Amino acid sequence: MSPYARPKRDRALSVVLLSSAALAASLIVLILVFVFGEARGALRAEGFTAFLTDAGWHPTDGEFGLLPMAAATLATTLGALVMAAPLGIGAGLFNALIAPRPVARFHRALVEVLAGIPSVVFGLWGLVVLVPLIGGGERSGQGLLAASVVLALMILPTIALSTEAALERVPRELLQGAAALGLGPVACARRVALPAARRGVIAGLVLATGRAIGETMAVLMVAGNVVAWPAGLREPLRTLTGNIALEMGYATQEHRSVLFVAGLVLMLAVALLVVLASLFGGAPTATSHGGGASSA
Amino acid sequence: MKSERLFAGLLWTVSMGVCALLVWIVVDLAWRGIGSLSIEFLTSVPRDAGRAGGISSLLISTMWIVSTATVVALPIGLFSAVLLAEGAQQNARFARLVRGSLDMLSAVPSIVFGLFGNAFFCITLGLGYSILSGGLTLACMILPILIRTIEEALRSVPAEQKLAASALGLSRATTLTHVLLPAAAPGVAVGLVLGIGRALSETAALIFTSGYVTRTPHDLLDSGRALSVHIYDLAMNIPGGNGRAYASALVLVLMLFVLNGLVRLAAKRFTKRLAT
Amino acid sequence: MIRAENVTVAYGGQPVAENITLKLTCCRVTAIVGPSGCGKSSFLNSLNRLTDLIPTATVTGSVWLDDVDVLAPKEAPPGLRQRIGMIFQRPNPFPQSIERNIQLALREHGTRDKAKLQEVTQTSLSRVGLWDEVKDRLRSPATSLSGGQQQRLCIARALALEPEALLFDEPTSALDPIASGVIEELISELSHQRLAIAIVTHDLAQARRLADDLAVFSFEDGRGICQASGEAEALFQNPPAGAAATYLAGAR
Repeated sequence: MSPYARPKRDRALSVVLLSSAALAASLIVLILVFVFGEARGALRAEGFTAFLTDAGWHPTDGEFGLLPMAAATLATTLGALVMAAPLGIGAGLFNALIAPRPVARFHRALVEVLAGIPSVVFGLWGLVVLVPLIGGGERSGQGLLAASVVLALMILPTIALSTEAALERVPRELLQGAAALGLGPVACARRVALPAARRGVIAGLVLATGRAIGETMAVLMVAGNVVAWPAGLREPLRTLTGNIALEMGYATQEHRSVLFVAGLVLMLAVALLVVLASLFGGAPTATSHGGGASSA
Repeated sequence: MKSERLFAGLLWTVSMGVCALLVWIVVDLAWRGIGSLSIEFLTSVPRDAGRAGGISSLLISTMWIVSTATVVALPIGLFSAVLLAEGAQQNARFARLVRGSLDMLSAVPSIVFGLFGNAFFCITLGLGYSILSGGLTLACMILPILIRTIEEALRSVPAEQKLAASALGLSRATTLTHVLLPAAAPGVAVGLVLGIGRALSETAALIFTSGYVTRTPHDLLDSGRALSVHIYDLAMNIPGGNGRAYASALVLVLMLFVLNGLVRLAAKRFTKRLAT
Repeated sequence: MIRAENVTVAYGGQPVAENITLKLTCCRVTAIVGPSGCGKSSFLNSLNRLTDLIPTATVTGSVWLDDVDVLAPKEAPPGLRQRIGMIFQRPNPFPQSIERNIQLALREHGTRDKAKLQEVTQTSLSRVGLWDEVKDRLRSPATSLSGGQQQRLCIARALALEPEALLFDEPTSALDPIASGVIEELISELSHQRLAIAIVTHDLAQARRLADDLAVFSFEDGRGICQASGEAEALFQNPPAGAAATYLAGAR
C-alpha cells in the first residue's frame, strides 16, 4: 500500500496489526505454559510412571492411576468412530455425488444444524432418551455404548462435511473420464472419487478423532462416571475429560495438579492429531462448519 | 448394475437415517421443552435450585459472558486477520507461525480451556469466578474461528479494489477502513455470528471460570452461571430438574437457530455483493 | 511531462520490460501497443510506482516528473499518485456511494471543506459526462452503475485529484462497444484539457483512432523492449522494419 499519504497513521497501524497477531499467536503458548505450570507439582511429586502404574484412581489416598480413564477415552472415541465414520462418509458421498441438488442442500443444512447443537443438549437427550433405551428398564443404560452413540452424533457432521468438501475438490475431469468409460455414478463414486479424495477424508477423520477425545459434557452426562476399565457396552466408565470436569470443583493442591496433568495429556494427544491431520492436508480451521460449534 | 442400485440404496438409507435422527432429536427437544416454556420462564429467576422459576438471571449472565468474549475477541481477531490476509507480501514466515499456532489453538479441548482459564484468569490475574474470567476464556476459544472467517472475507475482496486505492495514493489505514472492511463486512458478520454461536454453546470452559451461582451478577467481576451450565446442572445434579433442563435447552437451541439464520442471511448478502 | 529513461522492470530478477525510454507529453495521447506479455502494463505501472506493491518487482532507470526522478527515492515521493492517475482494465469503483468514491481520496490528501468537496465532485463528474446522469443519486452505490458508467466514475475519481497525467491500462477491453466508444471520446477530450495521456491497448484500431504518439513494444530475447516510438501517423504509414512492422500491419 502506498506509504506516503499518512506515514504516521500507517506506522501506527502496523504496530497494531503486528501486536494483535502476536497476541493471538502467543495464546497457545500461554495455555501450554500455565497448564504445564500447574501440572508440574504433581509431575515432580509423583513422576511420570505413577500415572501409568498406580492401581486406581483414589486421589485422596494419593493414587493417581490415569490409565483406566485414558482407556475409557480411547474406547468411547473408537466406538464413536466405528459408528460415525461409515455414516459420515456415506452421508458426504451421498451429498457430493448421488443426491439431486435440492435434496443435497436440504441434507447439508440438516447436517449443519446437527453440527450446531451444543454438547450439553446432546448430553441431555442422551440422558433422558438414550440411556433408558439402552438400559431397557432393568439397569442403568449409562456406559460405553451411550457415550459412544452421543459422541458419534457429535463427530458425524465433521466427518460428513469434510468428506463432502474433499469429494467436491476432486477434479471434474477425473469423474468425466470415469463416466466416459461407462462407470455409473455409484461405481464412479466408489472407485474413482473416493480414492481421489482419500486424503481429505482421512484428514476429516483425524480431526473428528481429536474432537471426540476432547469432548467433555455430553460424554460426562451419559457415561456413568465410575472410574473403571471399559468392561462392557453397558458398564459405566469415566473419561479423562469427564474426570476433570467432575473433580475440578473440589480438588486441592496435588489432586488439582494431577487434573492439570490429565489436561496436558489431552492437549498433547490432540496436538499430535492436528499435526497428523495437517500432513493429510486438513487443518481444524480449514474444515467447514462441522468444526465450528460445540466441542464443550 | 445391481450392486449400483444396492449401494445407492444404502447411501440413501444412511443419509435419510441421519436426517431422521436429527429430526427425532429436535422434535424430542421441542416436545419435552415446550411444556415448561413460557414468558414467565424467561423473565423470572430460578427458585428451588432451578426446579421452579425461570432462567432470567441465567440469560443475563450468558449475555454478559458472550458479550465480553465478543468485545475482547473482535478487535484482536480483526487486526490479526488483516495481517494474515495481507500476509503474502511481508512477514510471510510470521504469518505462517500465527496460522499454525491458531490451528493448534482451535483444537484445544474446551475442558483444557477451562483449566487454563481457571489457572490464569481466576487465580493468577485474581479475577476469581467471574463473568470476566469466563468471557476472557471464551474469547480465547472463539478467536481462531473469528480470524479464519474474517481473513477469508478480506482475501475475497477483489484485488482491483486494492489497486484502485493504491493508484489514488490512499494510505494503508484508509484503504483498510474505507475500502477493505466495507467490502468484507458481511463476511465479518458471518465470523462474528459463528463465534457467538460457539460461545453460547460452551459449557466445560465456563464451569470453573464464570461460576456456578444462579443469581443475576452485579458486574463483570461477579460470578454468574451460563445457560449451558444450567442445563448441565439441572440434568445431572437436580432430581426433577429434567423438565426445566429441556426448556432451557430449547431456549438455547432457538437462540442458536436465530443466530444461524443471521449467518445465512449475512452470507447471502456477502456473495451478492461480490457478484455486483 | 513525464520522461522515462532506460526503465527496466523485472520480477524476481527476470526482466519483463527492458530499457524503455519514452516521453509522455502534455496534451497528447501516447498509445503503447504490442503483443501480449511484452511488458506494456508493467512499464505503465512503473510510472506511478504501483510496482512498489509487488514484492518481487524491481525497477531501474529514471522516470522524470518535472525535475524529479520519482524512481530514485526508496518510497514513492508524496503527491506522485495525485499527479499521475491510473485507470484499470476492469472498472473498480469502491463499494461505496458515487459521492464517496470521488471524495475519499480528496479527503485523504487534505481537502476537508465540504463546499470544496462538493464542487470538485460536480466538476469531475461533469468532465466525464456523468454529472447529469447521476446528480440525483450521488448517494447510491457505485456498483449500481453500468460498466461504462463505472469506468467513467473511475476516471472522474482520478481527475478529482487534478492530475497532470493519466495512465490507462486497456480501459475499454472489459466494456461493450458503445461504452468503449464513450470512453474513447472522453480520452480524446481529456487530452485537450492539459493532460498527458498514456494508453496501453491491444486494439490497434483504437490506437489509430486515439494516438498522437505511438510506442511499439515487442519481444527481444524473451524480454519486452520498446522497438519504436514517435508520432503515431508517421509510424503507421512507415513502420520500422521487423517485429513492429508485422504488428502494425494488423492495423490495416
